[in-house]
Amino acid sequence: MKPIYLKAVSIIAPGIKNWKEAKALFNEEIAYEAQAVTKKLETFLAPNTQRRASRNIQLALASVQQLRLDSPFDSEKLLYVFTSCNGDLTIFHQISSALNLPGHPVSPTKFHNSVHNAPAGYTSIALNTQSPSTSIASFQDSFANGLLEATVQSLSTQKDCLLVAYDEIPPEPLLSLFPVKADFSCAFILSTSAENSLCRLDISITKGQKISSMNNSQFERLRHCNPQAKVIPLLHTIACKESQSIFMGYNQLQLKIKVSGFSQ
Amino acid sequence: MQALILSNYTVTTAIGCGNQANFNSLQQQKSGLIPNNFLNTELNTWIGRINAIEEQVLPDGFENYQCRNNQLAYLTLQSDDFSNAIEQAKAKYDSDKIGVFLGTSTSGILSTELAYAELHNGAFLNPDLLHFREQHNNFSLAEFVQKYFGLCGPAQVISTACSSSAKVFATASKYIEMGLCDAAIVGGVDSLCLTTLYGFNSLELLSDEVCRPYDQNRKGLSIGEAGAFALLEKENNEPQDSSIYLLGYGESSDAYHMSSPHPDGLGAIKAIQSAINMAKLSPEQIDYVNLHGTATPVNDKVEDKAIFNIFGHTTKCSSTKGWTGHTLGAAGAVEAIFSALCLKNNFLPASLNTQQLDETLKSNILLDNNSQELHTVLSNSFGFGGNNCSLVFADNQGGQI
Repeated sequence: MKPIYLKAVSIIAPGIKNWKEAKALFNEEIAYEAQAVTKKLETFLAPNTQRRASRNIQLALASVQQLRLDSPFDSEKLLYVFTSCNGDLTIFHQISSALNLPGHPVSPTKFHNSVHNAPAGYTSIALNTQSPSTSIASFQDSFANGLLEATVQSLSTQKDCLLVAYDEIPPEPLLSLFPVKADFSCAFILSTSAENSLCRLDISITKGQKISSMNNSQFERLRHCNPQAKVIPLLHTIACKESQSIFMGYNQLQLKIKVSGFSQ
Repeated sequence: MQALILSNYTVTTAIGCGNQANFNSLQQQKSGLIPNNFLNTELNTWIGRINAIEEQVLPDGFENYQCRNNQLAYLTLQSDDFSNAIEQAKAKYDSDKIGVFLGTSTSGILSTELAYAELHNGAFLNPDLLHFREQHNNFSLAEFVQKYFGLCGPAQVISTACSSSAKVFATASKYIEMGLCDAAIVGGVDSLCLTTLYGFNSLELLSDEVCRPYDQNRKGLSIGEAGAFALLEKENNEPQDSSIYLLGYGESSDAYHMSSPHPDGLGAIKAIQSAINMAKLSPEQIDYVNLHGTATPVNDKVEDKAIFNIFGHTTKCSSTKGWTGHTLGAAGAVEAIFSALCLKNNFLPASLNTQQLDETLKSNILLDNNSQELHTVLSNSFGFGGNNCSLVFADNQGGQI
């Protein structure tokens, strides 16, 4: 496949509020302190909608909001890929609990927010864009799948693509079935044009490669805190401007991401 | 896009297992809808239920994947020599170059819903009994199908509510175009569960009688379950007169509301127009439109506006949901296969159960089955979150293939 260029990054992770902080942290300019992601997240939703939006929806939209503030984009000119391992387990829990109450009082708002593409729907409404979006799931490899999907979309249409990857800590009793230690959200803008890009990514599917991990034990713990955090080695490489290849699990194979061409 | 051949396809719905059974029911105008008898739901509505699901036992090694949705996937894969077609594709292509792109809205969440019923007894969700990855998770469907066929290439589940399994055709087409796949299994499977039945009931979108698309007295949906698969290839050594092609797709967002379509159908218009443009056709060259046609008062009204805007009142249209019910995340793939069956048999289905056409609607809705020469079909799928997808299919005389 042809190269794709990374235009912008945002991240919300335990102890990391944004990309600027991530860059300082990965370059060891500041010390890492693992703190839970804050309860309050800034999104672009109207206050009433924000109050009704679930944690998972807010997580997804918060990393999009960071991109809007850091690298303003024309929402109508982008394509959108949303990737989540499980969708909204908090809402699933609330609906499943309601199903077992007398009269099965399922909330209509919760029901329409339960669809896997709810964050995509809210984004298109709030940013007023009729551009297509897709919402995908690939369990533990949802980030790698999303990255490949966004790259394919961008290269096949010559349009920029916004990738959003997010998953929340699920509530009990689902947490014991799917143990996620921290909320995580990360967004990329990918482009076929090198202009104003952070770096170049050459993405391919490969086999028999060892998945990239972190030497620093704190960052390695961070990589394991949430399935979407498997992107940490890639983010570290981008932040430290190291030209090298990163390998992420991709179903039964691996995704090779060759990072190069950093801006000065 | 390069036209892709549907080298094999199969569909299982409430009107039958496999293409022939489905086509026979379409021809005989035999609906699969029955009064709701799903578990102990006691909702006064009609459903499109597939009884053969419950007797399905997944093959050895797939015990953890056993759930209603994967049972339905397995049942669907047994018809129309589909599995044999995949074996032939494996002989032709590397197993990592055959993609799996499937749509579902609720995967196997019924298993978890039923496990929740036990929670009030002080029990917990037992990981030995409830297999979260293999049953509940959305990706379970693609993982099961990929492993069942011994494939290892790109695999993905798209979950964009009721457009999920229409979008898989678009995604597969892009992966093939990029050279990541030589061929792809596309499709959708959605099975009855409590969340969708009670959820649509909470939105007051369920009809208490059979769904009546585009009818003056339409009262809402009948929920159904279904599975549908197709093998897409970019080239076929032996193109035949009966070959069916994907010629174009169009995707858009409404940017209006989470569960109501844009009142002027702007998102739908954009998706339909994009699909026709990609197919290099004009609206006049579309012979038949398989409508999304869910039979809710608002959905049909808005889709009608979009159809009339593009096609006027001449192009023949119908919704096949009167046969199958609304099969949600499987609807796109089901209606894609129905489109293929229509093209192959020069057959246009009626809008079943539509008794008195809504006079305020302007599209040309078929009230009876038609047999006529048919070369091009447009199929619409629109979902919650304002997610729209339209597909154009054709036979070998239906466009620039």
